[in-house]
Amino acid sequence: MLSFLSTPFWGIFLTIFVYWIGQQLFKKYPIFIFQPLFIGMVLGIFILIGLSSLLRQPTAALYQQYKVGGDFIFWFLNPATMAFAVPLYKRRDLVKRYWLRIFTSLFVGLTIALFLIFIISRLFGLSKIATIAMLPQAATTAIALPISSVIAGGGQVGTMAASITAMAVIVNAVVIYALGTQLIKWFKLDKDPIGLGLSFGTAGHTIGSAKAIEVGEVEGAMASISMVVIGLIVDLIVPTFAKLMGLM
Amino acid sequence: MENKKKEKAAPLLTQFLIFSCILLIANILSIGISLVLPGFPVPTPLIGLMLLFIALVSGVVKLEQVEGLSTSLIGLIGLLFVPSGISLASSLTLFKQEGIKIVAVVIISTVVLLLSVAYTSQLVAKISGKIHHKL
Repeated sequence: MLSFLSTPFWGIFLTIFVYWIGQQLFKKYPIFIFQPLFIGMVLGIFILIGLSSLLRQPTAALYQQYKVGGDFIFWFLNPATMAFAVPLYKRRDLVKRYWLRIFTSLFVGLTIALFLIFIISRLFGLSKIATIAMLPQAATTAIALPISSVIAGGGQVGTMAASITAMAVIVNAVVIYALGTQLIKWFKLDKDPIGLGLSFGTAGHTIGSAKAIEVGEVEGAMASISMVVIGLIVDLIVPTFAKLMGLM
Repeated sequence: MENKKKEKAAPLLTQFLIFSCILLIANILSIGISLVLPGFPVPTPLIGLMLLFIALVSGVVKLEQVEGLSTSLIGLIGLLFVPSGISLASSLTLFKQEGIKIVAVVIISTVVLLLSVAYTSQLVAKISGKIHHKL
């Protein structure tokens, strides 16, 4: 009977269920830690760990079973990431007007950030896999994970790096959601609406964009534009950076 | 000039067809690029995004043919991230060893990304000599 665990029905149900719980909690208590995505991730992992001790099976085996259904839902990140072409197209006036500034800011900004992230990872003594996993985090999941996996060398190690990157992308969003307003105040980011939008889209992805929309329309549009453009730039420079730093 | 009158959304099947067609082409291109440049992955959705944007700008695809599905997918994006988050369950051993350090680095990195992009943008604006307060 337990063989239902290795059918797609289980993983699909669990994914939707934990996210739904997260959404309900967030509606009731709108605190950042109850971000539906964050709750969904933590609850899902705990359920798998719980089941693994209940069934006396390794957590990795239960994850492999979950993945059968989880992959169905994960696949839809492909069309969903592609769908960002539509908001980008709707604000093509802003893209046309500021393309040089958008591209330079993101390109130079990301290059500086990569060096700093690399140095910080070294200072904290992170392993090679974890350091690699930190590099593509400015891109959204569907773009960051394959890059992380390839740089780490693919296979089992690639999967490990990708899962750490996945967590990083989610934590980015949670941090920006929690501290976004304070960060604007502390670092006086609101004097430059374009920069604010670009940085929120880069550091906080979709949730960062939602936060930027609260600040203003231009900020919101810039954040969704930056999410797209940063994906492209991450793809262009992160593998090169990893090679230069001897990680690849 | 923007067409003011709201066009009727295309049937769902047409929207699915356009999405799956562009994704297929993007996937073929992605595989092609990976054969030529194995160390430089270009993920399928990234190519798809560019192709869809080009298709919209060139008028090959009309906005009303993709807008409905795009809005629904983007609205669901939080849910779609959940499986990748749960994938951490497969690296729990690595996470147990370095978890706290990794989370600390991610939190610092978030602020580093935010500030380096925001300040570069301010610098670029200063250099080009025009800060737009209102657009």
